[in-house]
Amino acid sequence: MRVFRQPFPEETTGTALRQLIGWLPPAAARRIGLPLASLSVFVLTWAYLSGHVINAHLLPPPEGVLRTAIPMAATGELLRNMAASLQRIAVGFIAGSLVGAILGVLMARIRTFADFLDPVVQLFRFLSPTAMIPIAVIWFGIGEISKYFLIFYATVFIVLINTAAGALRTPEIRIRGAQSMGAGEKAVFLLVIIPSTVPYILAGMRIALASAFMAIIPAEMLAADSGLGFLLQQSGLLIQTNRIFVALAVISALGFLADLVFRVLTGLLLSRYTREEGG
Amino acid sequence: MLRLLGVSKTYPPARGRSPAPVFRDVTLEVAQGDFWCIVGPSGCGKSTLLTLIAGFDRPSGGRILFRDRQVTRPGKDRAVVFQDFNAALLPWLTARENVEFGLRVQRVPRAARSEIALRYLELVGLTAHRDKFPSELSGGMKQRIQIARALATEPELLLMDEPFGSLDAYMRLQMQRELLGLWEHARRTVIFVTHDISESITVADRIAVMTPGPDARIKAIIPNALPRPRDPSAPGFGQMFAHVRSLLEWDTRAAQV
Repeated sequence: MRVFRQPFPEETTGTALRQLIGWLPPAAARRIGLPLASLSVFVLTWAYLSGHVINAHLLPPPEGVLRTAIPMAATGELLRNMAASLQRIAVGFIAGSLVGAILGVLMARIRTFADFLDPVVQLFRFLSPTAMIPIAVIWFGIGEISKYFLIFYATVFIVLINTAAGALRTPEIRIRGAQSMGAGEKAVFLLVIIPSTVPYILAGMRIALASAFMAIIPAEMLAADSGLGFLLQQSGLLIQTNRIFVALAVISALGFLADLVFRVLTGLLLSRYTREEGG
Repeated sequence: MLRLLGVSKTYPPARGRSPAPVFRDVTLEVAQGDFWCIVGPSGCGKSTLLTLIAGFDRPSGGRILFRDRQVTRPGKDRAVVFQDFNAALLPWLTARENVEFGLRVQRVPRAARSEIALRYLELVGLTAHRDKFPSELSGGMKQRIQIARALATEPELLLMDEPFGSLDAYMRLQMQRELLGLWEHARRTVIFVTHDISESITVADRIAVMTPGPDARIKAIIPNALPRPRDPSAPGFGQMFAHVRSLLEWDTRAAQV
């Protein structure tokens, strides 16, 4: 059987688009021009569909959504709900990442501990944060603690599994080399295994950050009186599609920004640990 | 300084198979300042043997005595240089920090270890690259860092596991020359594992030739008194090469029958 080469992305990009972004230097065109073009096509398609193909009450046009957003921002309603959601995500995400990273490294190093904890981790993997909402409400009420718990829950297993896998992947000869230079158990752990695991912890945290953003919405929809999920739920009950779309846009933009901040921060602070080993 | 007495290594057998030793009856006596080579075909267990001397693993039979004490664990008196420098070096440390690593875990004061590291980096010609990360350096440079790192803690025994095996032929010759320069300068005891006959004749005073594994043994120990520096085109080199190769080939044919 013959295998055909997948066309490269630039080959599928139309020539009109190519001319449109042709005035940019090639690298900048790829980094800025293409994402801009992609978003423009998306918004234009949306604008066309609304009113022409789909009833504008069901799918409000982009400018309608923007017009709804401005007073929501002006009154502070949007900011208040954003702050509520972000604060919950921050607390749960940081706590979940810390616990996940510590348990993950220990699991990789202590065989008995891994064998002991692994079945539990394997079972909980299949219980989504949403599934934990009823019990979280019974245990912690509809206050902040239940949200912290749910975000923690959405974060901890992802970070744990990634960390354990990364720590186990520390090259054996890296450890042996350190031992042959006089490093004891503790030095190997602190100076070889933990730094070797950093890229895996960060990769896990990035996935977990997206998971936290997904988990906060149902949590706030079902049991909260603030937050973007609450805004979404309230707008849904009142069939305010414009407000629903504002909430959706804000959630995705906020998640994107959070991921960007995470990447920039880790790039600034931990770039040494994310270097490739090869050259 | 190092004595191996009837050393053997057997791994637990795969299900339904009888246990076969990787090698057995390995007896060697390495004197201070010696440069040894262990030559053998792939699978003869020469790297495993080095692993036992380093103390990463225990022999199944026999004894390994280093300075009359049984080897039971890795120690700073026996530094190891691995073939895979990419995995062995710490990618988050610069060249200088990598060389300092052994000194750091041995709690040498900061000022002293910096000074020692710079001295060894100069010895391997990497002074200009001291603040670069391994990912910014070539294979040969990375292997030089690993050698400088191993030498910086002044181990009594240097164990080298096919250290130049993943370098190109030209770089390999250059690294052999540099290693011999270092050896003449510092006079460490070296055990060097390779499957390259020519390399073994270039570097070693004593060449232990192993039979193919499993159940490998040391077939012969050949003293090599050719004058240094040794050049493959020099008289005597070719004879030595033919001798070592005949020892290796005889076994290849015997194994096929």
